[in-house]
Amino acid sequence: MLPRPAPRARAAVALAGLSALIALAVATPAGAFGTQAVGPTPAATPAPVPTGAVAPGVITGATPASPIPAQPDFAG
Amino acid sequence: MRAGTRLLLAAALLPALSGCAAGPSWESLLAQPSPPAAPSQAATQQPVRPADPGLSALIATLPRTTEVLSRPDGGVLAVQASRTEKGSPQSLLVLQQRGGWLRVALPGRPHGRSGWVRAAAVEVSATDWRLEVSLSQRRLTVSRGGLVYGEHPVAVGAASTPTPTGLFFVTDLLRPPQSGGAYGPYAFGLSAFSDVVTSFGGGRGQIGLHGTNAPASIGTAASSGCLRIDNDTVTALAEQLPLGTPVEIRV
Repeated sequence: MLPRPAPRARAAVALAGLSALIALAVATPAGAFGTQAVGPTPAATPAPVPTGAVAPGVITGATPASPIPAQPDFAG
Repeated sequence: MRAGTRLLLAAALLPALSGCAAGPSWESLLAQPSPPAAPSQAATQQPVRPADPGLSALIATLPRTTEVLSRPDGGVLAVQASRTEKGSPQSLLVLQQRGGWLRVALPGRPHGRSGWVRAAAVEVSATDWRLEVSLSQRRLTVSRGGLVYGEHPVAVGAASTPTPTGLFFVTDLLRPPQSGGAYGPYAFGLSAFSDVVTSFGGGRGQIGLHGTNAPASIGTAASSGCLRIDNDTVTALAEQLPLGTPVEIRV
């Protein structure tokens, strides 16, 4: 009969599993901007997060823009 | 799977974010912020800072022509079509919320305009992408979820046709018919317009972020106001960025 893992070992396994899940959740798509994080954004970087007006279930994840075939007229 | 997981995380974090402390500097980025609110309402108008920068911006997409009000239940400040002049879905950066209202940044001149729309009247999405441009360093920083994913040299406006500064957002993504042309394979339209160039190539001087057929100009102050990056970088961005992505342009 095999001995049961020590509580500390079980905790380590659980922690490793949780870490893997978190890593999966925050993983970004492969590509030039998905795998090359070089560091945190500056701490002073401001960002708007107004959330109270919208129920969380109503907010969807924004999807990449669909390009429109057209000649730009921007101030190139 | 990944998108679903991220959405779950967002839903889990949103209640915590709504209780965050006020952020002091976001509104100051607007070149010409809206008139101050009545003192009795000031406490509820402060933007909040995220606990997790990964949920850094909300985007309001207009499903139909929408009146933008000067304040909740106030007068009509502007009428925004459901499509931009280029035909893109009208996706506006959300700056603030109050009750069932959202304050959105408006594209075009003058810079810094914003107004209020009913949250129930728009489609709200979230993005953690963010672009920052340093004109003095001629550098574009691409970040997502609080992590910098790239720093790229950029061509900025020449001294006589400077790139405007402030908080803007992506309004359009165009694919030129000739990928080897002046705009490269892709061109993002921004909510910014040149302060000096009011007509360019049939347009009204809208600022773009695009590729180029003059790579030697990247890293210099050479454009009519647009931001030029190398074609590989703009192609990678075109595959990722949603309309409404915040773009901060600083000196």
